[in-house]
Amino acid sequence: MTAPPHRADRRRYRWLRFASPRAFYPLAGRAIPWFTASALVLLAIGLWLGFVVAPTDRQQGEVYRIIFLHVPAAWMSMLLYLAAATHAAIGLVFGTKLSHLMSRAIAPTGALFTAIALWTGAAWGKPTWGAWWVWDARLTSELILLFLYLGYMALVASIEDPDRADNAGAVLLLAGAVNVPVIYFSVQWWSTLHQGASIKLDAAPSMTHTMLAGLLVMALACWAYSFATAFARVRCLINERAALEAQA
Amino acid sequence: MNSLQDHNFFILIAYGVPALLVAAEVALLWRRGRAHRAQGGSPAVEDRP
Repeated sequence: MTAPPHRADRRRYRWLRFASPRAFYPLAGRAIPWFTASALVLLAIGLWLGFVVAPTDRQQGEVYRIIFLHVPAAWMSMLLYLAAATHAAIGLVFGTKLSHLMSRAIAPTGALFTAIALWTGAAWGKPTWGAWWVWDARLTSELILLFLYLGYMALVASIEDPDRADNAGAVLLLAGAVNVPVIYFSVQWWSTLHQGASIKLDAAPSMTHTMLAGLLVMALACWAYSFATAFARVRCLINERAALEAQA
Repeated sequence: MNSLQDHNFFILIAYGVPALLVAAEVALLWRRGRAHRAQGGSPAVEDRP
């Protein structure tokens, strides 16, 4: 006779249940409005802090306010890639369908944030550096990240068999993950035109508290937006995969 | 063009273009989701991870 499962085990199994697309689908649906509302509220607060409360920069004047979008977008571009790669690794190791679908759902939003980071960087670079673009280590590695996102999306879209597409895409995501630390540490490893990190975990920030608050609130808004779009997209992907399996 | 106006232009394009990109992503997702909702209900997928 087997012993009844311990309460902690039961709780763990309850969470594992959400690794099933059928169980995750309604959960994601319920979470989307909350993340959307959070993103809108945080965006409004972040823009207010960034454009009204934060003071003008003594050296750069008003143009530094691009930082309130540029830095959170750059953070999200790397974090979303790591999130997609982590899901890909879990999908490869455990064969969980939902993990691969989450990778697919995260990638377009990650590519969007990478494009935004590059675009806002160019719009900031022109008035401060005098150039829209330089082949600097930070900029070049961020551009490679955009190509990795686009390459991943193109690869999974081009392979007809969804399981093979998932596995091939996962391998590409994992191989490309080496680029993320290169982006992050590029300003330390090489002599770059791009400035070093303004916020470090082991040092006080090199900006006023209001600037820092605006930056962090905008980063939270980007997080909430990413959750909302990834969950909305994964619901579509779950539907599409179910239709595909019903045809087979 | 003085310096402040010049900076305003760069701030405008730095925030304007991403706003359009985000609007495009949300519109595409909304359209895709609406198409699925029109087909009705939650998906008939097997209940396993």
